[in-house]
Amino acid sequence: MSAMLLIALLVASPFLFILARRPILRRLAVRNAARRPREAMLVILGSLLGAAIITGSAVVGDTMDASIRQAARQHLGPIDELVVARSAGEWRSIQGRLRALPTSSVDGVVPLASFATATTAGAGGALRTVPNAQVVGLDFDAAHVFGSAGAATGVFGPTPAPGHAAITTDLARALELGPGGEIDVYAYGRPSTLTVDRVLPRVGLAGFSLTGQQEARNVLVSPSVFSAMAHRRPAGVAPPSWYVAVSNRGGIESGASLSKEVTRSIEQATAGIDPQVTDVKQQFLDVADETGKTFTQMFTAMGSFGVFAGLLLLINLFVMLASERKSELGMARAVGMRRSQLVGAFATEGFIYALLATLLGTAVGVGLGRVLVAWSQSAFSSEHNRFDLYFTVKPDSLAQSFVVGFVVAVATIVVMSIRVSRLNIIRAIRDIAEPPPRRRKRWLYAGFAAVALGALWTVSATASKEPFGLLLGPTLVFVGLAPVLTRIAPARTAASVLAAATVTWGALVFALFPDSAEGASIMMYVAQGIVMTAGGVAFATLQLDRLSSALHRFGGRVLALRLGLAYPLARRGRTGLTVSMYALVVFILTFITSISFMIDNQVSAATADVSGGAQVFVRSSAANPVSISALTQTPGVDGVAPLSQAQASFALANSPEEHFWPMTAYDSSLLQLGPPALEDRGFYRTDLDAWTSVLSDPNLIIADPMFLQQGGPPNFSVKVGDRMTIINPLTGASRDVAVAAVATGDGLIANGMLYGRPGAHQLFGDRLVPSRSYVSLVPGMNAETFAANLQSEFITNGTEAFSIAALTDEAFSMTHQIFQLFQGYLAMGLLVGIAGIAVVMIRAVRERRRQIGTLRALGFPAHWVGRSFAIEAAYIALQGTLIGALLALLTLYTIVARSDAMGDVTFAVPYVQLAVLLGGTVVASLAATIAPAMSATRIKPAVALRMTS
Amino acid sequence: MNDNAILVSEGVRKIYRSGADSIVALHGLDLVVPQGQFVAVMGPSGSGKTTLLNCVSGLDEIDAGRVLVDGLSIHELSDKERTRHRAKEMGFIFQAFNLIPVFTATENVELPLLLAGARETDARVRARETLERVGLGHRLDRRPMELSGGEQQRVAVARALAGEPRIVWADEPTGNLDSEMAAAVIALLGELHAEGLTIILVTHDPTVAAHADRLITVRDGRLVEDKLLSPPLEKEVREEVSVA
Repeated sequence: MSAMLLIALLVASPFLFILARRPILRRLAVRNAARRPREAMLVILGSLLGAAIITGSAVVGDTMDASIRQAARQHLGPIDELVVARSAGEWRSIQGRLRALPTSSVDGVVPLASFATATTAGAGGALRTVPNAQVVGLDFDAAHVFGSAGAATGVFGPTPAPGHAAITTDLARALELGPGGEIDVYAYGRPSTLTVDRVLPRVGLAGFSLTGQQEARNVLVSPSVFSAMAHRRPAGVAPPSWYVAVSNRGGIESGASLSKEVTRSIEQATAGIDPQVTDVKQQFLDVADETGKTFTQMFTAMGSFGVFAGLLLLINLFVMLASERKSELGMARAVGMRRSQLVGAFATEGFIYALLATLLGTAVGVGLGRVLVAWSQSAFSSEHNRFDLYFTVKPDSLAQSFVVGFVVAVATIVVMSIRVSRLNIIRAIRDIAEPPPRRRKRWLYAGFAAVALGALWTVSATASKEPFGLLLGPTLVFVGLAPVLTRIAPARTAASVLAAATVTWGALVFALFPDSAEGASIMMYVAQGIVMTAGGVAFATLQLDRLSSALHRFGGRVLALRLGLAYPLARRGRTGLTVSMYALVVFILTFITSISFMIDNQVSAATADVSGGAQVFVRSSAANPVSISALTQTPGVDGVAPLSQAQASFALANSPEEHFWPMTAYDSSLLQLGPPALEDRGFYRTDLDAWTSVLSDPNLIIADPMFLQQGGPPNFSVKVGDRMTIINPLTGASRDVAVAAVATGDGLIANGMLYGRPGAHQLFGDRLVPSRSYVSLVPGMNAETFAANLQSEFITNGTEAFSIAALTDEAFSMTHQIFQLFQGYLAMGLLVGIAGIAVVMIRAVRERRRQIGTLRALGFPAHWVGRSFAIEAAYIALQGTLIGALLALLTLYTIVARSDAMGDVTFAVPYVQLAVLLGGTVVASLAATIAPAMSATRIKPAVALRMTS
Repeated sequence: MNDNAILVSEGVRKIYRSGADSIVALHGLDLVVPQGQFVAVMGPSGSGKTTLLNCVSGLDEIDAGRVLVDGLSIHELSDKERTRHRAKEMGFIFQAFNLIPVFTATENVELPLLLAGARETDARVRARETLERVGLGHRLDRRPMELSGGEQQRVAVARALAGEPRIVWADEPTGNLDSEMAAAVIALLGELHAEGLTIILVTHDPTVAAHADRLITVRDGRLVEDKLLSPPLEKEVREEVSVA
């Protein structure tokens, strides 16, 4: 943080020097800033949104990071490493070996074991059931001295006696059970009734869970009770998981830094047994960091449209300020003020605005982040999936956001101040128009350099299919050609052609190079949006004359219309800046709204793809699974395809890194039932051919399309032909496989990688339990009713049954909510546009006061004056929204219809949503113009003429 | 009241207020201007010349008295009616030209015609004719910033004349021009007056005032002298001014 503040101080130091040591410049800067407090306030309000968006994005990232870290505290506590044994015997041997671990790095070793179970309570009354609970065997006395902070284990009191248990708050809440109550635990085919001694928090060893679920529904029993239960295990069901947990010295998070060293020590101590050792805490923290960064980047990337719009507003305001003060600036130069002093005074005024705007913006950003987190919480909370968010603001992020917002604003202001200071004194004093800029050779040289650089970049990117180079290389060539072509052809025509070429290239790049779109980062789409918007606005601005004459033909007689259009058409630069603000924000809003709509449209098709021939998905406890024959005989069932899921490790070819990912094995019954559709079936003629090949060939696998994606933007995309090694993490058994096909995303079913049962059995042995199934129903059977009945019937097996259509709908609903969250966030950017048009109009009324006075003197009715301002605002807003919306739809069309980047999504235009969005934007812009337009109507001609003369 | 009067001002009083302070800018001004007269209003800076013009033209409100233009009490009209009246019956020329910068010369001149209800094609023809008359036939499509000061003022004169107003108000029309350009503008106003146009002109410049039929001198918000002029007049006006 101190580095960040140092940067801010360095950037601020020239201005602080001026304020402290240069009284004349200070007076000019401070008095000009305070001259019109209300307008200064508007400038600050218009400028603060950039900082607010940056801060809001950082707060969301902080919250995600902290929430996952919180999950690490809740589910691991002091546990830094887990040593996983293959059997109870091996487990006991490992415990003995680990007593010798060096105490300088380790402050606790505790054995624990678990298996999945179903639980019920309230027998005789209203039966309450929790199918997905877990029995944990733990010696509480050992747990109390595990790690340096006892409370972090979540365990208190003595080890429950035989017939007794402690349960976690999550399970107690679900079963409406407290101390003294009785709980039925179904494990390995038999129920056990236990008395609840106490309820423990979801923390540390008590909250131990590796399921990835938010809640930990644990039944904690003594090791002897656990062993007795485990001893009953019949053949064909999953054995318990045997762990030895190790706590490193240091705090809950800081201890993870010793993981490498401790892992080495554990491996040495257990040599010969060679169990799997997992630095589980470090993995949690890595995921937290990665997810936090991903969310920050995602929100920042989308928010960057709003930030750019804010910068354009700042530039526009300074152009207007400079124009208004042109004669004052000329006089200042005339009486001896140096150009550098003029820059100093002007930039210091801007520094005051920037400082206040960034401070306020950072504070507003924290509030914005709070709203985003609250909204995200509902998006992350569906019936079958929940992730609790803990609102967090890190001082470092706050400092970083402030500095980024501040430095960007100050840099913009300094550049504008330098530009403003380049004035001709006489022309400035007499308010005479500046002549057209001279053609300078240096621009020609810069143009040649840009063309050469752009061409090189294009060639290099074409070879590697690198998306940024493919987009920006040719764009750089077009930009570089501008100073060249405008010398040999009519400037407007040449510039228009280049602007059109930029838009066309931006729109077509992914259609021409579809491979480059796959896996492209979100920043790629940001760059694409900015390039296309810049090109589109430049083209429209250059061709405004044609629009002007068309509108004149249409409404030349309507003087308010003529006047309303005259100003934006005459001041193209300013108009272009304001139009760009709208176009940028509307581009990304249209993009997100349309994608969301297209994905929503996929629900029916996605349900059919995920279902295959099944209508119901069933899963049960691996320690007590529903028997397939019982399931098959259930009334209403037409067919059953059993699936077995195991936690596997995957290592990509040429990479030593292993990644835990679920793996589901299937057999021929799935082929008979009708397997789910494939997203990419590679070289196979039909999907069924691919499923059949993978089943018969253990060297092939069907990949999960979400493989190695953390829920953020895809930075890795698995493809047909990719090679990897599938590993049983417990035994180390492995096999090299090739991706034969890529499955369709199955959302909440979460099968993971799909593998043929014979191959899977070789690797995973008796841990491969058929605890999940696809079920097809006889015609006329309602899937949801059947699922509810099945769940009741096989309650002791921990059965959960779902209508696949309802699960798909739930997954789509979550996606839809996340898109809504983005839309709400991006709508913040619209505020920049709307605030911008209000500020621009207020300043326009001031700037045109004399002209309004003249018009009124000539007989222009007051309400026409107001109407002309409304027309001007509507024209700018309409132009910006149309350019943004059309370019976004064009971009989406090329991405969706002409490349594979969006999978099977079909291009569609959400006419109603877009009409509301675009209409709302124009109406809001008009509403923002009401106040300045009304003030313009109130201008008295004699007063306006008298004041200005 | 003179039956031929186009403008009658009776007891017009104007007070400027700023917080607790107030300044009486016009002390009960009485003035009758017959149709077709060229009236020059002179006086030192701050004497109330421009206020007089603004008040009797209806651009500004008055605190007491009344102003009749063609028998119509303009301050009793609503803002809308007074605006319409200005568009149809009056033309204005200002020291600072006050052209609309985003309109071309033609568009500036056709503005009052359109405001008065003319058809667009008629307004365009009339605007071009008027600009040709003031010697700007070659500058029809130029914007104000592309014209010299004299040319801008001639556009302003054309704008004031295009609607064929009954009365033209000119506030220091030559104040921003060099002597050659000023002479051209005044000659133009002289021509228009010769055609029967009523002109009320505020000026500091005796050379300009010498072209008028009548000289009114204002001091401290009071009309201190009102006399008819006959050519050759410039020396007489200079003497009047120096005495005043």
